Amino acid sequence: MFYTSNQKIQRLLRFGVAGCLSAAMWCMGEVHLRGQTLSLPDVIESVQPKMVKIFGGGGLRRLESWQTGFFVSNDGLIVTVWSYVLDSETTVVLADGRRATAELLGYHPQYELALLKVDVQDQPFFNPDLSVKGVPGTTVLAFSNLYGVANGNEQCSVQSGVVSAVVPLNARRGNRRTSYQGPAIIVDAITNNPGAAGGAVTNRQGQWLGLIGRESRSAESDLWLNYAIPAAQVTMAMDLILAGKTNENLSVDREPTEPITLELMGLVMVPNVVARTPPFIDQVTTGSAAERSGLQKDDLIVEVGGKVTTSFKDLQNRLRQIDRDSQVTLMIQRGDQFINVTLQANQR
Amino acid sequence: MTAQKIFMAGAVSVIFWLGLSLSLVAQVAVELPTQSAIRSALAKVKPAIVQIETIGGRDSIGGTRVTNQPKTGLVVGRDGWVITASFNLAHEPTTIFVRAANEQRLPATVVSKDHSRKLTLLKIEPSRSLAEPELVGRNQLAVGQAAIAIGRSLDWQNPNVSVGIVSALRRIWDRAIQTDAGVSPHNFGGPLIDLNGRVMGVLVPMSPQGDEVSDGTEWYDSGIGFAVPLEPAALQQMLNGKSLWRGQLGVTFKETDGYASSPVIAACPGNSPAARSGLQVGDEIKQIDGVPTSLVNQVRHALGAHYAGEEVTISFLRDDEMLSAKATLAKDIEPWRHAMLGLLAQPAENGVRIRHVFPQGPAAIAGIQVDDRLVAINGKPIASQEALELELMNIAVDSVIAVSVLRGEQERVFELSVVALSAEKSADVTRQAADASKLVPLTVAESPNLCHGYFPKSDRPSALLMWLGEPGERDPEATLTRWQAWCDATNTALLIPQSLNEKRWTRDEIEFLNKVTEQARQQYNIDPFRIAVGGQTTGGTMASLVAMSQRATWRGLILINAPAATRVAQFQSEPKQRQMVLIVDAAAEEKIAQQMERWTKHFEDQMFPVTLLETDPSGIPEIVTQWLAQLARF
Repeated sequence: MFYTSNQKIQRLLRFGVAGCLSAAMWCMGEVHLRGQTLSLPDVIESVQPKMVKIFGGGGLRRLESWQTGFFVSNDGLIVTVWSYVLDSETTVVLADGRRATAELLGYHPQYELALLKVDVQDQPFFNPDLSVKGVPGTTVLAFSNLYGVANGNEQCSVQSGVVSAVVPLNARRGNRRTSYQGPAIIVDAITNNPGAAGGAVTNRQGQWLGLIGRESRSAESDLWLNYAIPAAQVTMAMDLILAGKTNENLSVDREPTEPITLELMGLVMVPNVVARTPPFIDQVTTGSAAERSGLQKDDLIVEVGGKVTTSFKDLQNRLRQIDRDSQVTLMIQRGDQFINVTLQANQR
Repeated sequence: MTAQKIFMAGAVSVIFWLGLSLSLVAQVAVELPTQSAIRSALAKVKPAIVQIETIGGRDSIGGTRVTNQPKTGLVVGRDGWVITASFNLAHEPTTIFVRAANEQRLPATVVSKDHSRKLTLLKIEPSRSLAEPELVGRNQLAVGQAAIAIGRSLDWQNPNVSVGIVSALRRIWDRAIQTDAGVSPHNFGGPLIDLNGRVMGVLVPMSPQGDEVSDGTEWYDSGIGFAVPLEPAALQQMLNGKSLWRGQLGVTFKETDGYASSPVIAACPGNSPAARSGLQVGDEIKQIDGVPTSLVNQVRHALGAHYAGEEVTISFLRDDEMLSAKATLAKDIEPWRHAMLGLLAQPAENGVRIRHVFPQGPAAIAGIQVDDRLVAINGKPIASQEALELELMNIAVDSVIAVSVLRGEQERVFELSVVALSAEKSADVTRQAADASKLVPLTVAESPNLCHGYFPKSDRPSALLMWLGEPGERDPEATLTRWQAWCDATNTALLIPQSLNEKRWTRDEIEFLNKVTEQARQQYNIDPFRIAVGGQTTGGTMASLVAMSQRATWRGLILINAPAATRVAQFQSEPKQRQMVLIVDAAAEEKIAQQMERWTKHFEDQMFPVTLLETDPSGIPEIVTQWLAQLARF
């Protein structure tokens, strides 16, 4: 994605000032009010050596040619996002400024994650076995090289915030849904920035929580999402990559090959004439499953399988997820009444 | 950015406060939110936050696409009262559902709206009492204290949270709390709470640029967001089914910059709350409800939080005397009917030369003649057309005034009864003929649009017509061929801009059209009282947007076989803007004729002087230039 330069500068400034300030606030706050915890600078100092700045391809197409990553083993294993940056020779710059050419060990297209290897010893790293979970309200720190501001031995930028929510990722990049659709930690910090992908999200103690995902928008609200892939999912992907099982499908909702249709149920809906036509029944076919379950003309279908059907189109999308042999539960509105209906199209 | 800098400064000072004197600020929870503090505050308010889902409705609101994402609401009464941001329901869905804690999805009905704070109150019939949140009064808030924005749009089980501080109070003309916590469609309708779990306000999109329901939605992830406090008295009215509107005083100020001008009244129409309370033109408002108001925007700020129907006490200065009045604010001010004496004017060395008197008009009946020079109204000297216009702004239709004219060297005073400005054409106007010229290109720096201008040669100021053709028209010479004879005959300059896109005009081009007009005015001798924009079909619709973008510039709007843009419907005639409308039906098509009639009626209702004419296409230049020749009427 692209920003105008103005937006870029605004975002940059925003981060810069807010980042420094929140760091300052935390510092004062924790030192004065909670003397027993590690100070924020100490926590950040312990995390920074685990971070790397990754430089590679992409510059030609006016795309950023950098991203972020971090060590997950003491002998140089680095996890990052799988992107075009890794298409050409990849240089990794460590926190102390050392540079190394990275070997691409493998990637998992559905998780959009990749593993790199550089030749180092006794490297500080995030131990996947010691990772933690976040819940709404958990204080978090995000480490990344957003906008590529850090070079050489400059440290990654740090942002602070909280976990806003943990929900399945329903996002798109351009017009396509992201291939990762597992759980996502929505964070309350502006992490959705060029170059930030692959960065680390930790809790207040510096324990590993997740990995900043590639820039995407919510498929539901159209807003840019600030999110991280939880450590548990990242670890799972790393295991699959190391085992060479990168074709393994994730357990995401698969559409049935033979979904149920309105016709099979015996329903004709009011014609879909406007963008958000409410799903009103226009006709119930004689002898059909719909008739047997008592559906009538002018009923409004308000729920399918417990989820609200916001329009005719939404109803169709919902039905596409249901196998034609399974039971369909509907809620309909008839006048002031709400009626639950169960319907079996294929009776065998 | 400015807002953020302010917040930074505020936050930094909080840190110093903390370090130096924790005890001094103990009454306000100025502390840094720890994880456990956030979670315990959230737990307190969580049961009162509901999810809202909708079926059907429009697919966009003010250009923003309506999404299927659930929305957030807040319980405000245990019997099933739920408040939300009006933005969440602006698509006017067929069915609304509310899902409260421990409840099934329940159908909801809209009870009332607060149009000022952009809130909508819903009612459901829950099976048991709902949890009510605790409210905190806006007087108990401090900039710098922790603020948590909560929504229920992402996850039904666990509300989504965003943490920040109160960045500012009394924003958006004293209606909103500003926060740097993330405010977006993910939590519009949810609460902004303090660390005690008390509700400071409801999250709504707000913008200083406008009060449309979707204004402000573009500001997510920008470090700026708003919540409107719930005032118990206003909420009670909404619970009683009463919708609320922003209260208006109905005054216009002599203002160039709201932050620099003192609030001296330039106009207060007779039907306005200001006029009813006894305020007059020239009065300077010094205080509202005891709050000093030395600038125009301080008056706006003092009135901003008030609803229609509320009473305010206004202290004002009149002829060095402090006076006071009580005004009851109104929901809307009726559109202004401009006054007319029934004459066409022309600048003269001293005063205003009368170049035509409308037969049967007030001026004619009183005995005023062509070539008289108008020099005063009600004893007040009139030195220019501008002064004449300003004076008429405060004269009510049907009132009787004294008009002083110079006939030769002799001054005469006539009494006449003012009528409403009408767009009716008067016959036999002396034409101001001009000599032919040729097309010149006009450009505006940094704009890719092209424009050609035709300026007939004359030593008198020309009228100016900006003509927006069909978007595909690319031959200004051909356009000029149609218009030139009439431009020369009536001394009318013609601007012929081209759209960038061959298929449509876009709103982005309005700025260019205004700028190129300004440039033409600076380079050529143009009569500022006869500047109009018009066009055919989509060009006409575009013209309507242009005319309303700078109402003081565009004295005339001409629609030919074209409806005005939908958003133009919100405008009404106002004292400061003397705009007239010409609608021409040159299509001989039933459907277009109906459209033209509808818009004529609409403009009439909004008190714009409007003329509807029919012609065949070849008659358009004549009708338009003749109408323009009479636009500077008083």
